[in-house]
Amino acid sequence: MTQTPLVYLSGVSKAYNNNVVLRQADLVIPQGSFTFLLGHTGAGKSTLLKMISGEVKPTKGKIYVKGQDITRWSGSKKANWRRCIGYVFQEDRLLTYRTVYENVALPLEIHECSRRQIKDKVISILKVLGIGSKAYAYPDELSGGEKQRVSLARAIVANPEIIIADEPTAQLDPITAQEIFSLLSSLNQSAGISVIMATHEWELVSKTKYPSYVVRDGLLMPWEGSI
Amino acid sequence: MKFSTGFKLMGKGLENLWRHKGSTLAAFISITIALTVLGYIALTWLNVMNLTDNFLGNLDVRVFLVKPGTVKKIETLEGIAKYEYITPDMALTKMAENYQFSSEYLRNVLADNPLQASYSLRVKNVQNIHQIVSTLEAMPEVDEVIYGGKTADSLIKLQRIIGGFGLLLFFILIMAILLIVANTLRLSFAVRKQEITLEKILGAGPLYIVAPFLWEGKALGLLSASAAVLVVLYSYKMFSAWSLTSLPYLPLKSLDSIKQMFIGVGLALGLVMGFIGSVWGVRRYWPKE
Ligand SMILES: Nc1ncnc2c1ncn2[C@@H]1O[C@H](COP(=O)(O)OP(=O)(O)OP(=O)(O)O)[C@@H](O)[C@H]1O
Ligand SMILES: [Mg+2]
Repeated sequence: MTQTPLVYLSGVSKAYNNNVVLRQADLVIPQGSFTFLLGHTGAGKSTLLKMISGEVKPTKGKIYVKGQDITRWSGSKKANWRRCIGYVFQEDRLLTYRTVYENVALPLEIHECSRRQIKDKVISILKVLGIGSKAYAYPDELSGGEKQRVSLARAIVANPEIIIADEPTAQLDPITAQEIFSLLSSLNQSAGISVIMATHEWELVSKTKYPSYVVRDGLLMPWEGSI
Repeated sequence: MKFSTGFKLMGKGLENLWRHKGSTLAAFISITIALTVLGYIALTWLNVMNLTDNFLGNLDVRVFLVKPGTVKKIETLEGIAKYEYITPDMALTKMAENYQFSSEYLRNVLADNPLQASYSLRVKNVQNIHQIVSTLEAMPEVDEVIYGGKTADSLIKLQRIIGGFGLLLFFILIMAILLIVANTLRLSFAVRKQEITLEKILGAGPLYIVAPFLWEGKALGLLSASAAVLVVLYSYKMFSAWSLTSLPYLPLKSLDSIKQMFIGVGLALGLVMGFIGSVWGVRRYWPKE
């Protein structure tokens, strides 16, 4: 018997007004998998990821999470699903008037963790990502790469079931990018967290054996090493 | 929701007030002014009611009887607070006192006591005085009823006008306060839009999103109400002291007799207005599930 996929897109189309971004996309994300999503800028990668988290509604088609159609979900069910997601946003979406610590603590606060748990988890995750010394800095005082790591820290701090990472390595030098990728990869392998990652870095993708998809001219298709 | 989370969200609400201090201050001042005016309306109303009730409560209704003898019907009539039966003899004594004759002299001068027996009545509620008087007049035992009719009528009218006008102003001011609170909170929402959007995407439920704003509204209402209560009571204290020397014949209600009520009702009103205003302000985001 095969497991119910964590996420399953069936015939999903998305248009912004008359601008058709995605056409009849089908995608299966098995539980515990690592999936790459490629595509030129403006191809529709972010749109696809946002539909999975329920932030953007598809124009047509169905999106199933563990077998349930999320396009029919009420607010509280959607909120439950979102608490299972660790999202690394393309635009970092850090709150500028909150410290790094407070930004990373936000998901834990929404999970209603105790102050003590929050402190332990935030401090240790910041250390793991090498930004422990920036805990009380504000996002404006950080470099692009540091911000991206804060964003990553916020995504993984609350033990998500799935990490949706929208170009998490875009602003990083190749070595740091490799480190971040390794981190995601190890979270996937050791903790069984599913990962879906949008990226431009074909080379990085081609070095792995993870299933990869590409969005091209509104079509989602398996990637075979060229674009 | 956990208690500690609720507490944190309350903190967030108070932080909101601080984050848009400018509009908080503007709202605080407007609401305080509105509530202060409301307080003065209440004070005026209380004092006018007190004065007129005092006067009307002491209004003597004299019921002259056709022939001497107590009438049970009058003594047990609905709405009578107090009655006194006055015999012709007592009436004569009273009259003598009033004109500073000796009653012996009067009795001698007047061969036969011409005065009628009567009842002196106090009514419980002056609003019903008309009805009581006409009931009395309809009784065969009653010859005539005399009371300060004109004065009573105009005072009753004054009470009604002030009551109605006060009520109208009251509703206008309440609506104004609600509007100010709602607008302040809409603004607060706009200020925190980015954060709310993020919290939603991170899976915050509707209550989590809305709770800080409800706290913010309640705090704003309570703060303004405290200020208004202080202003009203303090200025009433000054006014009372001043009127004691300048308008000694004006029997104002004492500060002590109204203090507790004003503090209690004022703060409660602030809290409730703040809460309703905030619900109104964020109604679009109100939890639906
Ligand atoms: N909210 C929106 N309203 C209207 N059009 C939008 C909106 N978001 C995205 N689009 C359009 O949809 C298309 C796909 O955008 P999307 O952000 O999904 O691309 P992408 O693959 O993530 O690109 P990039 O690699 O640059 O991040 C673009 O043409 C964009 O202009
Ligand atoms: Mg994108």
